[in-house]
Amino acid sequence: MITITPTIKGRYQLIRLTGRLDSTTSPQLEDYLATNDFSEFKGVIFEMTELDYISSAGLRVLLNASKTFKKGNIHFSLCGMQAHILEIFEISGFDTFLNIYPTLTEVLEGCNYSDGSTKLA
Amino acid sequence: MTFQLTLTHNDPYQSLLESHVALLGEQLSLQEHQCFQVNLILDELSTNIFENNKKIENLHVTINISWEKRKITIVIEDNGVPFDPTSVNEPDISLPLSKRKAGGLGLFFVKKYSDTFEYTRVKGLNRTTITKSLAPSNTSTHPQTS
Repeated sequence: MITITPTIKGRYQLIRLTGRLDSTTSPQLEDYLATNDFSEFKGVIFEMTELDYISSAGLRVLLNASKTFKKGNIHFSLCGMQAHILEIFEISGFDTFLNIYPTLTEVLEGCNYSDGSTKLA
Repeated sequence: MTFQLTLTHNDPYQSLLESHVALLGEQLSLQEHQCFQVNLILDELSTNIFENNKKIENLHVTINISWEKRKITIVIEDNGVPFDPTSVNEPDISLPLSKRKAGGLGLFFVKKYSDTFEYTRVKGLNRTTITKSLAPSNTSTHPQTS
């Protein structure tokens, strides 16, 4: 089961993921991303503190989301991963092209920079 | 000791795998990341089998998990089309975003988290055998992440 909880933080769409992202649940996230318009936002942030499980099916959705957001010039960040989830991103090399932050605070601190020099800008 | 589980297309197999891994975790006092790795191995292999055999209505996937001391052995048998999961090429994880594809990552994780990963075709069945050593809780082999 996956729970997707969107909230708005300034010009950023925050999306909290809770539960499991596997081949059964990842279509739910895929549908959510396909049926919502994020173009009004400067960025989209996935908060993953309560995401307990991810498989290759979940990574596939995040890979496609990352490509779509990049085309739309929307910044895409992930934060709050548990250690075993972060390890999956490291093993797969996804940490080399996704913006991954330890905490939401660190993402939002980056958002506040105005000179365009942060990873988010 | 042993767990055995038989799955078909109609079963909520991921929930069943999760609950069996939780029981295994209790039996062996596994840490959370160890349960995750075992769950991932079972999930990726089972998902592959169900995806590869959508047209086979009477598909049966039998999963046997046995353990001795801190070493578990997973044997998965299915009556689907012949398929050797150990022969799949590893994805190139150094590619940039624009060239990355998600294919092959599941079996890549299985290889990464297993000590041995073998396949044989036996009497019309695919048989995949995995072994994995699980360190006791007080000697974590989990890499430190910052």
